[in-house]
Amino acid sequence: MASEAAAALIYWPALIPLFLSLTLFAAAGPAAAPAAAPQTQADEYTRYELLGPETSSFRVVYDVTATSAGATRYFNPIRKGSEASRESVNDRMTGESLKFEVVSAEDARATGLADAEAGTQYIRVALPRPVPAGGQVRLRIDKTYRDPVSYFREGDEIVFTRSLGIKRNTIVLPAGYELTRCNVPSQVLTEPGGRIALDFVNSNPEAATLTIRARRLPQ
Amino acid sequence: MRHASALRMLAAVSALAALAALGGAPLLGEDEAARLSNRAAQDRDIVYSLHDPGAHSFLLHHDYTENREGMDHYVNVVRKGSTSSKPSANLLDTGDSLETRTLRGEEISKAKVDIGEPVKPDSEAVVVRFPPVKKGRTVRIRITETYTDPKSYRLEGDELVFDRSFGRPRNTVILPAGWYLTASSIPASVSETEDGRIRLVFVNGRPDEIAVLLHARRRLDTSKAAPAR
Repeated sequence: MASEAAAALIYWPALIPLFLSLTLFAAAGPAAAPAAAPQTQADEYTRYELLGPETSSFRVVYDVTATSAGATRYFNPIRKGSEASRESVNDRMTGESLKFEVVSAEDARATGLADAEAGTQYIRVALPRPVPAGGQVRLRIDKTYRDPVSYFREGDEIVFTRSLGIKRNTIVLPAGYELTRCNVPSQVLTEPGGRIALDFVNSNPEAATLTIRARRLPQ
Repeated sequence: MRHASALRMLAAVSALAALAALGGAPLLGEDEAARLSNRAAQDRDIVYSLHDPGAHSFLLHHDYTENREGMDHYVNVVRKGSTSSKPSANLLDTGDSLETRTLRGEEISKAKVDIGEPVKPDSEAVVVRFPPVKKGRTVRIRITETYTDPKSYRLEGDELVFDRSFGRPRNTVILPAGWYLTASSIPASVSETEDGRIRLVFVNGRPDEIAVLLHARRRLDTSKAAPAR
């Protein structure tokens, strides 16, 4: 020990940076919590299934991959103006259901989503395992939105109009409806059950401001 | 519908693509010029208005602007498998009608019309004559024809099938009255014409062809559908 103390004395200039750091730390007051790494994701795809127009509701099946290494939670915002119900979340690797809670922005901020937007609610998903470094956790978030501003009836047509930030999207019309208008270039397909589906990839940097109109086919 | 120079470019593309596929050589020359041409500035606008599929025919409007000084004609080479009828043309700048003439086989050679490929007995070309373009001026022309093509436009069971490749950047297809869209392989924006027909608009900013495949079904009632319940 004596020799170590002597060594410290002999090499005391080496301690100057440590001394300066401690001084600055004391001046800064109590330590701030380390900032959470921003949430990152990839491979997003959304399928919208329009329910009966009288409900103003549509099912949203959102596939997303959490990519923030070490993350144990994933936060999915519930869009303002939309009323969410029937939420469920699955681990796409195992197919198992995952636990989730609907939390406020304050809760989201306190539990890992530093940039949670005030007034927005979030689905906070408990990931089945921490996101591995260089890896990912693939999720499917299934929910139903009621949003009369986005999905409504106008004359003899139904209208679905929504800004879609996710780049890959499918929108499925209710059964028995034909497409009469779509402003975003889309593939048109008929699903096995006979419902018409629109499919598009938005390669522009901004969100797609989609408007679809459809009309009931004669029975 | 093909312009003779487009045919030459396509032939060059095919030949060079084949060479490239064999040897991995880069595509050069005329093909490269075509691939690096300004696609957004191309002014051709083509509209396919489908008749009842049983007739295998569709009305076609082709608008284009001629800006080459001295040019006084346009040659539309009819695609193999298609036949053209009722050709007409007019100068969109004035509304004046233009002379059109359909030439087949030897008639093309005798008239010394360059169709951009060897003339065969079944070659068909529509030649539109217009006043020579003066220096610093342009003319905008609309060519209208009825095409019949049982291969690319047909009825399969109770579904209409329109299967055709488009090389130009802007194309519109209008379904026959009383039909609704059930499939489109290529992304299109969709709207209705004033008389209630479904219209698809295809915009292809890339220097390639799009293989458009459409399916449609007849509504039970040809009048507009009943109001939503």
